[in-house]
Amino acid sequence: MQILRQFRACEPSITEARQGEEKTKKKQIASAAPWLRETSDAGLSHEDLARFARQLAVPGFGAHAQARVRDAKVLVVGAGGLGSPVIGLLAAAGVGRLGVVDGDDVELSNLHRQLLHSEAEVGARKAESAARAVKRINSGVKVDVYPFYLSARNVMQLVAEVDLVIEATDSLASKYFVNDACRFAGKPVILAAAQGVEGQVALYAPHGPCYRCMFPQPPPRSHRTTCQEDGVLGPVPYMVGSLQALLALQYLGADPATRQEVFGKFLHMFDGAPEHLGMRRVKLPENRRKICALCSPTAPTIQSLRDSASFANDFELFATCNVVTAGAVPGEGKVATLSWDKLQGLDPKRVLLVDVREARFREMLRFEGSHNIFVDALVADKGEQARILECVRKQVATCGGRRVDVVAFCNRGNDSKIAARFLDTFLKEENCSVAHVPGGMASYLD
Amino acid sequence: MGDAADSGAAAGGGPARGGKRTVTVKVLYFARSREVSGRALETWRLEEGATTKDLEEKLVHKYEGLKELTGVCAWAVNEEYVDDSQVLADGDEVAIIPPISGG
Ligand SMILES: [Zn+2]
Repeated sequence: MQILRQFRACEPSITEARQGEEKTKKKQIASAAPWLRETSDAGLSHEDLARFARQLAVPGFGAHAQARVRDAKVLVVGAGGLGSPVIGLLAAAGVGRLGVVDGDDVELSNLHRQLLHSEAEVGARKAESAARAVKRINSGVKVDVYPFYLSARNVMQLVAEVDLVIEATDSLASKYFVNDACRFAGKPVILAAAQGVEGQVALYAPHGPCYRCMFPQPPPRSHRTTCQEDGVLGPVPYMVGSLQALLALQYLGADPATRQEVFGKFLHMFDGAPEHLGMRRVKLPENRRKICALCSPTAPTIQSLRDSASFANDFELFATCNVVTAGAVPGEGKVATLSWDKLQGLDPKRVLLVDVREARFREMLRFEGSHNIFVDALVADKGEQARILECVRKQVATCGGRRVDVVAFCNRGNDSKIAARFLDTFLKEENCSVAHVPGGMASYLD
Repeated sequence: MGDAADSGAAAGGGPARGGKRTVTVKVLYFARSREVSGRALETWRLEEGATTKDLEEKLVHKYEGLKELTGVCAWAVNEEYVDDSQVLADGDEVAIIPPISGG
């Protein structure tokens, strides 16, 4: 056993030595023998041939495809769940130049699915962490690091420089924005999303239909989720991001003259529910659609990046929270806030803590004395409203008629704000003050 | 979730009460539409000549939560994107695909 370990330890140096020997031997032969003069039509080096041997051997993906991939520049927007497989696989496959755009920092909650980052990178800029990972995987790849978010000011410059754009963020607003920018710049874009156990991916070519042609309108606020912590199982974005990387390699590797025939034809859907596990695809419309805000030949409402940015901005405002607005959601009144620290110092008899998260989040961590009511039910359900009213009155009675602090909290502080706004109006006749905790459970755990 | 037959479903096309012919289609729900309807798959019987628009009205009537959602979804029949005037044929497979975010 001991011997074996020793042997293994010195193995690399033996291999290295042999490689060195062979190289010099080969060079001598080549220079000495004119009939062994090398030429590679695609201009691949010996190292390329060794490193990419297994993908060069794939029928339909040969030396010329590899050379096109090597000469390609790709911009990846988002270095998270989708971006990890995209960036990792494209670097490994030898894409010549990768631009990585991401304004976020690496968080602990990213690590369950974002394998490009590690524990040591928590707190680091995501784009920089991704660039370090690329260098570890393939030091030959040139990486351009853009540790900021895309905006109308910077997007055209970044997009103009590349052959292909990959949208790999978790934001729907970003998908519309990047779609539009690529259209204005005449660049192909591979857009994807992964949510729960489902995913979608499609390549939109400059002359075919675009993302807006498929999805002319974003879903209304009531059908979007953000605040309630969309869940996602790590393998799902990995699956979908891998498909983005696959499409990218095949697109870049293909003869430019034939690309148009093959790519930009389908939306691919991954369904990861155990009883439906598999892929489906949908044929995109043959042409750009007349009703598309971008492609419409007669009345495009999005004519410039500015239109596109304001569309994305409007929409992101709404995306900050998801509440079914069945009941009356009070206006934009100011809501009092209370930090966890301050909350700790209050008289326990005079505090009513209201947990407005969905019940499933309480399985993870909860406070024993809280009144639990999901925000949607609070604003819509008369029975629940009566219940909390009774609860507040009981608390006031318990503390001898003194003023009670009603404090709402949720996962991130968005739902609790809506709950507090509602309670402020609903409880205005009661002897209490209403506040919410900014940052919610995320800040509590921080 | 699963293969749940709707009350209006039948094994196939054919004459219905009153002599009107019907078609039977399979509806596939994805993402949010799956969450709202609580199912991934459903069989619907429609009058012959019914369009995707007609089906949409029926779906929203049955699942109130789909209101405001079906309009932003991509609709596909037999794996091809269609608009809302597509006439449905017996045996068609209709997919309702909301845009998803996340990653
Ligand atoms: Zn379009």
